Amino acid sequence: MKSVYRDLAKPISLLLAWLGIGWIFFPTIAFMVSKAVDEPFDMNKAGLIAYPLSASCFMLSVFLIYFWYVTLPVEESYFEEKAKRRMYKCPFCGKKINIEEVRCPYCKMKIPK
Amino acid sequence: MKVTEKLRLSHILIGLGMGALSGFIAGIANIFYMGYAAALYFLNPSIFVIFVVSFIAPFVEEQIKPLGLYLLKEEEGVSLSIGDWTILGSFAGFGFGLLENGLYAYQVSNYGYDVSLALAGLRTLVSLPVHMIATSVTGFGIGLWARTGKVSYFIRFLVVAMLIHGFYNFVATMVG
Repeated sequence: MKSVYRDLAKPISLLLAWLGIGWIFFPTIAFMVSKAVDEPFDMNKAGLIAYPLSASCFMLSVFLIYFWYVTLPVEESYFEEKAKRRMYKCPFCGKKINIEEVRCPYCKMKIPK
Repeated sequence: MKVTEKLRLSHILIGLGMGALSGFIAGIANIFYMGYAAALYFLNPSIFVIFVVSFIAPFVEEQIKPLGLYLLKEEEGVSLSIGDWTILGSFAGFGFGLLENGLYAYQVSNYGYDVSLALAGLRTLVSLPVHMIATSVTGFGIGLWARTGKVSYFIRFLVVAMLIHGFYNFVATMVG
């Protein structure tokens, strides 16, 4: 399977693992900081949110690494095809036409280069 | 645009440095946009805070963070692969996050350097990767934009980055 998202999956999975570790330590360090600056902090509530978030980050990280592993990079032609399918407005009639058109298919006017 | 270049140290430094510089610009822009939500403050200060951190800050910061990437794409005409644009995005987020960490740590320095260090450590563990993830997503969108010429890709991924950032800020506000 080829996917353009493969390039995004690897860095995001590593960063999610980093974030997952961060959420584990979040309640403890946040409690220390809050205590030092005399701010109220509910460690139980923080734990209830932080630990499930940490688990979610790790699970998503593993999924993305798996996705990266099982997918293949897309070929150069994929982007060329996408670029060819670019649409823009005809300067004469305002209808959306393909970037490669020489003459507008709607108003038949010649498109200036 | 075809890929003709490889990611160089100079690209990374531009992304990183401009990312850090964007921290200052975002700070000013945030204050400007906060004015629009001022009415909320008089209605309910808590809702104002949640609105500012969950909507205004991500909206402003995610647009400004990839400043170096815009420069490289539009002014320098750099033609990198999508993976390289994504990595550049993560470096821009890293620069922004580092500057923000420094500023927050400085703000609490009157409580002692141990508190500053603890806060910087906490933000390095949690906020920094979020900034990097969000800007990587924007970088990926810029990469698709550069390769296909369709700006709609960039806008779509920019919105996704804003949602990621907004969700994190909302959760962080809820936790305390």
